[in-house]
Amino acid sequence: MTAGPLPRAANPFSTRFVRPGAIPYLFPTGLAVDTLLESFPPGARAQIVGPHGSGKSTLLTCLTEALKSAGRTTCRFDLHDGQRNMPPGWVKQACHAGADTIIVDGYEQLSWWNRWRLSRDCRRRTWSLLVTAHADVGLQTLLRVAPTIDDAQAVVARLLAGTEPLVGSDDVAECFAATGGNLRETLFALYDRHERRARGANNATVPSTPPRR
Amino acid sequence: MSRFIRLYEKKRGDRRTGSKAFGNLGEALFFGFFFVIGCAAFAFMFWMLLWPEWRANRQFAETTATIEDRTLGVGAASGDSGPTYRPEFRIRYTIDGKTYTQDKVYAVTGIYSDDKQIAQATVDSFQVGQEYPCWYDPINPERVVLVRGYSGWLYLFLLIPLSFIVIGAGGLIYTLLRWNTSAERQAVLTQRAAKLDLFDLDRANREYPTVPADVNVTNSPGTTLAYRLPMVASTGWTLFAVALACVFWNGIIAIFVTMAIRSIARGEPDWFLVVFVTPFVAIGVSLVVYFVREVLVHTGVGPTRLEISAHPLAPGECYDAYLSQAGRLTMNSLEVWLACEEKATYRQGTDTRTETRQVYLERCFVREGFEIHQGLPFESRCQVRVPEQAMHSFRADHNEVRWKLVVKGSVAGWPDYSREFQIVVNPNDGHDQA
Amino acid sequence: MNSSPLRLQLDDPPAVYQPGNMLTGQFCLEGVTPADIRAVEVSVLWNTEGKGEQDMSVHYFERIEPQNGDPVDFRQPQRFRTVLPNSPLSYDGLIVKINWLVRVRVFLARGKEIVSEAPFWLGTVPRASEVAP
Repeated sequence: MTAGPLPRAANPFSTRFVRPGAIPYLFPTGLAVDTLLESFPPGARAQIVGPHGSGKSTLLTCLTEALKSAGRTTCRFDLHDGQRNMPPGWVKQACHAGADTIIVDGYEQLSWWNRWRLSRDCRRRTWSLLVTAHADVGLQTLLRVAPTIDDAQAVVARLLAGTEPLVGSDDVAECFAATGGNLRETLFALYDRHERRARGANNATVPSTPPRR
Repeated sequence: MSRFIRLYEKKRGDRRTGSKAFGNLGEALFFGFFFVIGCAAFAFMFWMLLWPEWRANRQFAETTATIEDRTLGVGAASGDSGPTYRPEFRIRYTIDGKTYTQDKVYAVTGIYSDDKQIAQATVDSFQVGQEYPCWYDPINPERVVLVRGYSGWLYLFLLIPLSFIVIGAGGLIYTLLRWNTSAERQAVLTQRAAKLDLFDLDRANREYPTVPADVNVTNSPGTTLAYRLPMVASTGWTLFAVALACVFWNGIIAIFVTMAIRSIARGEPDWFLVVFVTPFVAIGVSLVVYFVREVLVHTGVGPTRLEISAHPLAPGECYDAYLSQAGRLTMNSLEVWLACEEKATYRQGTDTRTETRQVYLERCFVREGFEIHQGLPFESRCQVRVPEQAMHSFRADHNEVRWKLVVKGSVAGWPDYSREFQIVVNPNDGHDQA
Repeated sequence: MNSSPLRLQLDDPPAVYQPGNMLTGQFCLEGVTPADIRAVEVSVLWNTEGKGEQDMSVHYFERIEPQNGDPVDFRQPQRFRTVLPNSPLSYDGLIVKINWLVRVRVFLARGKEIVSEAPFWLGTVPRASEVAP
């Protein structure tokens, strides 16, 4: 180990800067959140489809805020690995929150029986339903998310704004290709590159502060 | 209302997904509902069951009653279950010169049950015209019972409203404490609750917050040195899982292989089946090879024991380690390494991602080209030195820095093996070490 | 240039603090009417950074609210002090980093907040380097 502590600027690809909600969803040209909301009227049931690390959760966070700004009340449920059921008491929770829109991140985890029950409960209460999935789950597709290299470059440019960039567009292209277009893994790979270069740069006087935004 | 609860929030710096206060209100209503339902149910059961039985047993006065009539009362059927029953008696008794006659008397709760036989037996046990003791309410003498006692098993039902009350009250308190509280304040409240350790099991952890407790080591004394280090992972379950997968996979593939072979033997080879099943056979063979390899390592390589002279360790200090390796092996080499690695877990959406990185590695011991004989384990000692300014062991919910001793063996003609032993390194703060 | 009305500084901060050292500092709020301040919280905490979810723990916490309806004059410097703990030490790892900081959070009327942070280094653990397994 090298000697002496060397406070440095935070790695702009740390998880606290790249987690869903930390960076806004960058819509492709010609598409805006308002357009998506128009395709998702009250009572609709729709899906956002995309592979791992494509930005579905980030888009969901963006849409949730837009729905609230539009006067709709949402209740969101994030399903993790192997979670085959909706959380116990979810209906009561949604009722008491006065929700008119149910949001489920990780819908394809639910068993077919629980999907049917979720749809039934939403229909009975005339709740809208918005879900994310890695593949088509039989609902109306609101958006199919497939990040391109340009999307990755734009996200990275946003993360690096106001910092001393140690990774360039070539790095982004290489990592994006190496991870098969998985944006999350691309950002993790860029974390490693940034970290390696920062250690090699010997920036002894840079204070330990987060990058300015 | 809008002064206290904003229904929406703008974005400033860290993004928000909506009004925290509005979400907290929803949560409070949710838990409040549970609490109210629990209280109402508890109050109902108390009024209908607890209180009457207690009064009957403690406050009712005894007298004598004559049975004038007896009958088996039938209650209304509910849902899919049949009718319910209870014993009912008409009795006559006298209090202070006044005679009372009451119908449908038995127990104070008047509960029906679906066991007709027991109810009928109770009815039959009382004879018409006979006198029996009874107990009446001094406040209202028309209220009288022929039996007293407590419906023991019925009180278990009180657990239901009690659990609602606990869940509701707990959630409500938690929500109210978190209402409009900052992340720092929530963390403090959680930490204070965690510190309420009645048995003070984690005293070492409080002296060194986030340094893992070394209970698993210090309660495992060694035979040669002070402590015996526990091995990190047990291979037993891995072996079992691989065996199960092997049997299951190859069992299914065997059916198709048999069909393919029979078709060839008949002179009518089903080439589609042969081509289709070939990659699956390859997987099956790989599973078998892997299983055999694991068995060889698990059974051929005997137990590895590692003991240490003190624990937890401290940066800059030197410790004795004792290594014992059993088995019947021709060793190319046997090594002990001191390693430190970082572990980070990230969970987002349906993905849980764990990554580890090694940040320190030093060999403490090596022996090459020797034999280990059955029943005569190889034994040796070595020195383990923790670097002067090493990072201490650290464990949080999603991030870890962990130190370990790794025994690596290279066996002639057999697969290499590696066994890890977790150790704890305290911060270097000048305090005396254990 | 710091345009925030909240000024936070540590007293003569050394290059590194050691476990058991006294951490002292002060903060003040300029250009904000005292009546608009609902409460101020001072925390000394650590958090993690890197490739894992962020963990956080608070070592010192103080909440200052108006007493008996009288607002506290935060235009005057408010001091804080705490003895730093034995662990965790600041750590500049590869995928796990541990940062210590002082955070002052001001709660204003209508749910607004102002936050200011002053990071510091605890201990002398050197930067980690990657080692091939």
